[in-house]
Amino acid sequence: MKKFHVFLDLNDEENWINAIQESGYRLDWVNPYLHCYTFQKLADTDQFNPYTRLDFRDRGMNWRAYRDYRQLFSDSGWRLIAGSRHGGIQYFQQKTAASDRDIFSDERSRTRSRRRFTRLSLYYAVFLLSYVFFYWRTTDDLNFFDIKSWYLTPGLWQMQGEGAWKAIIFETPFALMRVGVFYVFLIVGLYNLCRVIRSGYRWQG
Amino acid sequence: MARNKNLPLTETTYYILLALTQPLHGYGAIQEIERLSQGTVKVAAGTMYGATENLLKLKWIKEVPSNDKRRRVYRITAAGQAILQLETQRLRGLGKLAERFGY
Repeated sequence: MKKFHVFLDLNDEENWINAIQESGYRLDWVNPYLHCYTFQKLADTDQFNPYTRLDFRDRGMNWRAYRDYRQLFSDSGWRLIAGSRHGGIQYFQQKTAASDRDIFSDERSRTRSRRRFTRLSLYYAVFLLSYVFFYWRTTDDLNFFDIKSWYLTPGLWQMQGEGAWKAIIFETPFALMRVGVFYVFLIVGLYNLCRVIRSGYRWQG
Repeated sequence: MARNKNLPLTETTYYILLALTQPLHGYGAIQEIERLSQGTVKVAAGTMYGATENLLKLKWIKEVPSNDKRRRVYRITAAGQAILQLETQRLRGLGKLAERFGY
């Protein structure tokens, strides 16, 4: 079973995953770019409903450090089901019913992990939205809300007949390239801003 | 007298520093802490990883060479021992104070 879902907060995501797992599924794989979650129906031979817990790494680790990180979780009864050594969300699932119920044993370490997520989202939001702002302010001949101004070809909009359609279709990829970065940065920037607001950024604590 | 700004330590940090008096990897430290605390303190993996990262940054523990290729092994440093000493004095002081109140 595949499910698509976009989350703004790690706790919401963790609760959602565990709610589905409790109804007789096991999370198998996560594609973080497509926000796609693959669940497997539990077989009769499966002895228990596992919990899945999320950790967040805000910076990349070298290969050796990542192996040590995964080994520590594996020793404690957690299997890494999705995650990259270059950072981001790490999905850990209980290997057996005897595994710990959580990957954090105090509130402080959980808060720290969640704060890394919010802080990185804040950096992304600030960077992407400043870029969008300056790009918008410094580009005079381009109106982002007027599709005709995306096209640079002179006289394109005065052309007639079938030739006009061909020309427009031919120019469209170039026009999209011109404004594509703007829109991608705007959307990803706003998404990250929403994550910061939802998770409630705290400078201290 | 101004107190060291890193005090008081969390219970997890205190136990980790005590456990790392001998060289141990992360899971070894988790098991040692469980043994030292008679099963009352079970540090979870994410908490242990975050704590060792933090202690390495503070230079209270350091990585030591080992034969285990898959696990990094750590040991307390002189700075770590000094902070453990300070914290133990603080806890002892609290204990003495409580004793005067009949606890």
